[in-house]
Amino acid sequence: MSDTKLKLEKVNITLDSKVVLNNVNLEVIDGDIVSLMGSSASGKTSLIRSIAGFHNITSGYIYIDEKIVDDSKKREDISKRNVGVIFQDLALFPHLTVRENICFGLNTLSKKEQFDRAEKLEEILNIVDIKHRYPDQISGGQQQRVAIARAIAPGPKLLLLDEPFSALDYELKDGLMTDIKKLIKSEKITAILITHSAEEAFKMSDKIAFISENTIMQYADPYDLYHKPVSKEIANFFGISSYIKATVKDSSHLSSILGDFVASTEGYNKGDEVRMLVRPDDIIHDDHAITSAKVIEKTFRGSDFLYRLELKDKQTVYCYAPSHHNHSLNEVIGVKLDLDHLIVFED
Amino acid sequence: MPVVFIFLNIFSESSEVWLHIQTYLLQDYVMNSLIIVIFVAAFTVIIGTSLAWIVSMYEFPGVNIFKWLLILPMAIPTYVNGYIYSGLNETSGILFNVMEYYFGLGPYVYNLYDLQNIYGVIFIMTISLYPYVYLLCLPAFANHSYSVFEVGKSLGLNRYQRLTKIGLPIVRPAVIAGVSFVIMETLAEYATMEYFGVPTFATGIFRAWFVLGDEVSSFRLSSILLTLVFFLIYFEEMSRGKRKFDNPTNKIYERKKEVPKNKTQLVILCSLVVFFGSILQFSQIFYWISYSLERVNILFIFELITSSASIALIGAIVIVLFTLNIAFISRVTKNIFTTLSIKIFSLGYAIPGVVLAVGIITPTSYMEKAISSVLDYPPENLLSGTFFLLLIAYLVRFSTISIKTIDSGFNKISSSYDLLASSFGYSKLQALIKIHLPILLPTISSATILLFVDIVKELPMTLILRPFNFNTLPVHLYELAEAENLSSIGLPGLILIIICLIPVIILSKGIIKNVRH
Repeated sequence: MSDTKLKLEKVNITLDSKVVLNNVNLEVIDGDIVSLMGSSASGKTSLIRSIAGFHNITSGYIYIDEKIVDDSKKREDISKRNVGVIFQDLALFPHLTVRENICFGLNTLSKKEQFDRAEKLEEILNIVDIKHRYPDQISGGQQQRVAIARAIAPGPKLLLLDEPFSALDYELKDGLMTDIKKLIKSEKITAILITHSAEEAFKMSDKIAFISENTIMQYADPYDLYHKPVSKEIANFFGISSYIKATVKDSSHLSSILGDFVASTEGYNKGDEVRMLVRPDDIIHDDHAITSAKVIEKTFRGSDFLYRLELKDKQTVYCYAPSHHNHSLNEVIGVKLDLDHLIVFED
Repeated sequence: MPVVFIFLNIFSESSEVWLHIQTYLLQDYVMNSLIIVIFVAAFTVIIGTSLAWIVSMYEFPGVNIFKWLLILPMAIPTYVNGYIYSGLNETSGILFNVMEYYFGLGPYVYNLYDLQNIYGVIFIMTISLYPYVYLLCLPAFANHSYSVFEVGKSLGLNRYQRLTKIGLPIVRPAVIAGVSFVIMETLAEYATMEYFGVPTFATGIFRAWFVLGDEVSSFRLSSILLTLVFFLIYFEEMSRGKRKFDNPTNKIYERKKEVPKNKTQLVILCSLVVFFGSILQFSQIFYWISYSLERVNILFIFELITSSASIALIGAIVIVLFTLNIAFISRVTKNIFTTLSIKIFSLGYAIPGVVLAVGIITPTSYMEKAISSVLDYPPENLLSGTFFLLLIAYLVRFSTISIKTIDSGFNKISSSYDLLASSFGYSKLQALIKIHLPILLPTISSATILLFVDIVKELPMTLILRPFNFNTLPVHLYELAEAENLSSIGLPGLILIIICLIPVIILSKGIIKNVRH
């Protein structure tokens, strides 16, 4: 048996005669946490709802455990897909206690089994003390934990999370994400998470699927999405980017103001003008470096500074420097490029 | 159906009665109705908006008590208010007796004023209906950040300018909603107009049908009245548009209310309104009770309470179940049919009770005649004069309250609950029982209470459609007033007012609770 838990094949989704997603292909490995990212209204929620069975797909196939659950003509009932869902608004039932909320999906089990299952999850998620309280009597973070417990309680094959952390404070979110990731992994559940935050996606995911122009533009692990984006849109989405002018020297070399670099220039001809992606962490501040740049903007971030630097030809790049490297505006500092790989885009 | 029936029948052949009405009465109906509506609307807006502004903006002794007391007239049905005011300077009235006992001025007071005219109607309708404008304006004023008024102040606006340039535009939608309700209630009012002898559309329809025995005339009058009402609804929707003037920031900052220099005047003003709006009425009611207690047939009053409560309870339950069903179907299957059903049922309250009764009783009698002639079955009154017909009338008129309350209750429940329940294998019915109903319980309870009270105090439809020998508190009060036996109104009147106090307390509690300072 293959270890693919979820597979989307040529999935098209149309809502109110508008194409939302077109030719979406995706394979999620059993036990992986995959983040769906993209700009607003890019179709992330529609996709997740189709996987859950709340929406019909227009064409294509959705497989869960190698079994077709939706082929656009026939759809397996939502309740039979064994999918857990966590909505953005959490949808905790206000008239039920925490314990009753958790047991809501366990109605086929005996009372004893329901009790054992709920108690175990309450312990893991650290919500034992609030099990008799109602949702309006607990904090936002606790509500989040209850929603997770309720979704995981029936032991779903697949867990779908629609921006579950969006309403939380940074401190609360950080601890919660760690706990939830740990729980999902320990329960060996495959999860699809919608998020707008690159940080959330990096922290939670094994892989990230970036949706743009009605389809999945890139599906890769977080490192590759950050360092090897296939488009400027993805590059900008996942971090601060500068695009430095460069000229193709030959099939494996580029020349720029920051120096000459080895890079794959496949598809370009000698002399072509291109842009190379430079992240702030690619630029190292070094007083002994040959290249220098002028500080034109600085942002103090606690542990470090984010400098915006102007190169000799007036192009600008960003650079992180430890906070004790406190340079003044207009000061000229030495920089060097420390690239693991070079990503080139058309000028 | 009753509305369609009325409009379809206006083209029937004109009768002599219609010619008589057209020649001698129609002008009175039109003029009186218009004059009453215009003045009642203007006075309720002035009184309701000013009071809401005063209690929201200023700190003065007793302001929190006045906030409640100013709502009390809502608990006194308009016709009861009319009977009480008419009785004040009668020989059994408290005003007559107090003035006679202390100053020997009883006969002077007796001749001092006569409310049995159009001015009396305007006064009674105003004093009974201003709380609708007041209650809607109150949260509209108070729930806006006080900073908008402080900005006005900093820009040099005086108190009057702050009210007219900031306050009034903000509450405009609330005023329009309140005054529309006031106008509809005024047009639909039958008992007060009848008792005060002021011919209007409502009394005209009743007379044409039950006194002059001409249904075509009552249809024509009804259709004119309905056209006015529908025009009003259209006007209200148009003028309200999508503008709500909600507080855009949703933040209400703690604020201190302004302490005015003329706070004594404000206390006097509020006290006067409370005195004329409720204290006087309660005093008169208790005076009548003390006056006529030994003559009261407690058993009969108990029977009236039982019959009124039974029909109101059955009516409320039937309407709630019916509208719950429509609202739920609309939630799970959103389509034009369900949306239209909700729209149609939301209009029922706008149809005056007299019109509705006429629109129901006529097709029913046609149907009965047809059935009895086809089946050669002698009794024609299969449905007429039965509780069934009365319940249908209640259903059409009062579904508005229930459908609006329950539908908005459903709309507040996130659709995620439904999806979640289906993902856990619950059917739609199971989801209704396990999720929606428990969440909606407070909404359903308040809808039931509101319906119960509206049916308990309903008069014209019950009067026309009730089964033979079936009496309710309002019908009994109406009969007492018609028989000029005002002094016996005390106890049944008080019981009716106490019942009507329940929703007033519930409603105002909810609204005043939301009015934060």
